[in-house]
Amino acid sequence: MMPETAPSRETVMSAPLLEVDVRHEIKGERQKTANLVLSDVSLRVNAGEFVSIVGPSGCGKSTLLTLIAGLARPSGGTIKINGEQVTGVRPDVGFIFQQDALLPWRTASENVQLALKFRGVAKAERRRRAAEWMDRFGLEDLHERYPREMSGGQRKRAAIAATLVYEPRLLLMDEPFSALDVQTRDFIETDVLSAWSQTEDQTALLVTHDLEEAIALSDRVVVMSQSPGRVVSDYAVDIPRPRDIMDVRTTEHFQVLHKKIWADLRTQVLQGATPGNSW
Amino acid sequence: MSTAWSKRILQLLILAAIVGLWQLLVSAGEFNAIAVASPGSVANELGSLLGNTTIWLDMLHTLRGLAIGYLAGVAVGTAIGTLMGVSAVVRAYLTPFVAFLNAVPRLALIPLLVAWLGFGQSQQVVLVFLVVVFMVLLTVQASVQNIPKRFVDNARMIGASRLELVREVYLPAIGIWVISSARVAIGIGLQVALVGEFFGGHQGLGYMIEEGEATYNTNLIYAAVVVTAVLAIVIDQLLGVVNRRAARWLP
Amino acid sequence: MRLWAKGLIVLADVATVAGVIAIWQSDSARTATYLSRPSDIASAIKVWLTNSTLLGYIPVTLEEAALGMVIALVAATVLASLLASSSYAAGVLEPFMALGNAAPRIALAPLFLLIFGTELKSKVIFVATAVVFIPFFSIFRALTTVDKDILNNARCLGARRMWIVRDVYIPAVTSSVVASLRVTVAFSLLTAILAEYLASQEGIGYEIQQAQQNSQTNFAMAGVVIIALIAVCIDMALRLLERRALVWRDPS
Repeated sequence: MMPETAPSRETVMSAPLLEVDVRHEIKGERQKTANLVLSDVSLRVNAGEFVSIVGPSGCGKSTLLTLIAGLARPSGGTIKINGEQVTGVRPDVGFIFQQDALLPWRTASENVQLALKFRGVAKAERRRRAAEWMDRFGLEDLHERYPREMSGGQRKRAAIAATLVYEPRLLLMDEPFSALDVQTRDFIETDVLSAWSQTEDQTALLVTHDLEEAIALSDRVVVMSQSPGRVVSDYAVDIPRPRDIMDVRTTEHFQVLHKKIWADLRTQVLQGATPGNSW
Repeated sequence: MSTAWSKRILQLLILAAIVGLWQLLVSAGEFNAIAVASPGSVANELGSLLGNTTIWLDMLHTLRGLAIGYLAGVAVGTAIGTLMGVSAVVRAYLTPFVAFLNAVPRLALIPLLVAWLGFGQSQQVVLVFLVVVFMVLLTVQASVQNIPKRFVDNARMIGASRLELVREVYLPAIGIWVISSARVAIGIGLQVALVGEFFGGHQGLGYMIEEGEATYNTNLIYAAVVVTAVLAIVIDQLLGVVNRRAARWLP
Repeated sequence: MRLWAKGLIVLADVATVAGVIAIWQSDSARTATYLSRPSDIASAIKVWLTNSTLLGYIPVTLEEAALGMVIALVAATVLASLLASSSYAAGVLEPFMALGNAAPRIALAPLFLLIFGTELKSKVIFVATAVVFIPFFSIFRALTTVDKDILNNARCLGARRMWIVRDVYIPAVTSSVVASLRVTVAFSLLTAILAEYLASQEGIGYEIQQAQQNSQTNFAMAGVVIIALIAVCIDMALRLLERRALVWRDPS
């Protein structure tokens, strides 16, 4: 199936921000053989876009994100950000993990300040900026709390603030909302979306297994195949912005898109399952 | 009567029974009185020793040897353990040596240390060091490698340099483990310090034990053991306090 | 890590060992007088392995260690089972066990030798008392922290007491013994040697002490090398056993 080209938020004539052409395998511990995780994944993301990647479990979408982040090197192929090859972690890339990675021995404010501390920002300045971001995410009274003393939703917000505080050009998110209950999820997604749209030229790449979430948030939804994963389809989500996360799902536009992409996704999911082995 | 109280009373009863039985058997001539001193005579000996300054000097001697060897062991063990945990290259290079040396019973090396360093306190210090350093090294290495990957990855993503990674993630993470392994290590270190004094020097609680053995003065041996046990408990309690304070911000 | 990098590191290890031995061998004035030369040690080892008396010392030491360890394991299992079956008993006796553990057991070696003499029996008793706490705490913890879910599940499936003992508790005991085996064995060997250093008429430790006192440093070193090699071989064998036996263990 040919990937459909995606109209982005603003039509950008220059080269895409992110160019991915990789394949990747992981060596097993016991076996001497290697497992092919990603087979010829090709992806282009333009600056300012919000793209979601969906696919069956185990299709390698999280691995793909890890490679783009520079936390691991692909077995074959290249990843380029802004024309430069990715050889490691980059200061203009941010990553939000599925489980929050807040340091338990630091307060929420100190955690959010950490990225600025590493960038040499002066203490007063970084406290101010951290406070600003924390307030934007509804953490006004929680500055001096330790992660242990915060709820799951609060920790997630703090973790997001800690990454957004340095306004990364490319924001990578690996199923960040999956551990949250539905209501909290909607609120946090709204905050993330508004932060993204307010940050100039920020590009977002979200990996999720929740198709509704993907469509609600993104400009494009990319569907991956069963393992070893590759890009199967690329759908444009032309629902106008700004969107209301909670209401958008009830619109007809949304429902149509959802039906179409879901059919595709379902095919991919079922391709791996044969009768009796879905356990 | 609540269970807690009844347990306490039972414990005291058992303790009294043991001491009573001991005294009884010795008085009845069941054991060779020289070899198994009675509680009474031990108490006597302890009393006279505590009045005399030498026992305090012995205690200090042992504690000094323990402190130097132990602190050096913790410092070096933490440093090398962290290095081995963080760097795959260092780990691959040093592991055969560490594994080999760790498998060798370090107390078996005493004659070597005496041959090399003489009969002073240095062989005791080195002995304590050798025992403590491996304990700490292995614990620290394991705890570094057990840090959840996402903490390290996240710190890297938000811009931590290698040094900042060690300072902000690795050290606090392992700090917890260092403290708990330090508690175990000091208990063992104390015993090793005593053994070290069997073979050299003319001071220390270990030397007291050895002297007691040589002169068939078992009261002296028991007295030294009692003092050591009390020391061990005091030190352990102190470290327990440190441990609890450090565990405040643990998840 | 890439294969060539691994190979390079192995070479670095070998080079380090070779370098150390070379420096040791050549550096005449300093270490040779205290620790004797590798070549002298090697010839001493050869003598050791061919002389029947000396060779016979090895099984003596191993026997002391082994017997003491077996007694310790049996005692530890019995004690731990007793304490695990009654939480009241555990609550009462726990401080005594903690005290016994805190007592400077290895420092008591001279006392044991005084009371029980210098033959084999006394060393076995010493090894046993010194070692027993290691497997005790391991077994006790394993018995008292059996996963409640496993227990409840067994009961739901209709298991009777005997079955639970056989299929839940005994595996728990054996696996905790295996897990603590390396430390237990190492400690047994160590305490046996220590006892021999202090007072003995035979055994590797005895010979090392003798050689030391007769200023035959190379023979003492040879003895230490032999112990080291035995200890390392046993440790490696136990590592393999542990890996095989505990294959099911979750690495956490």
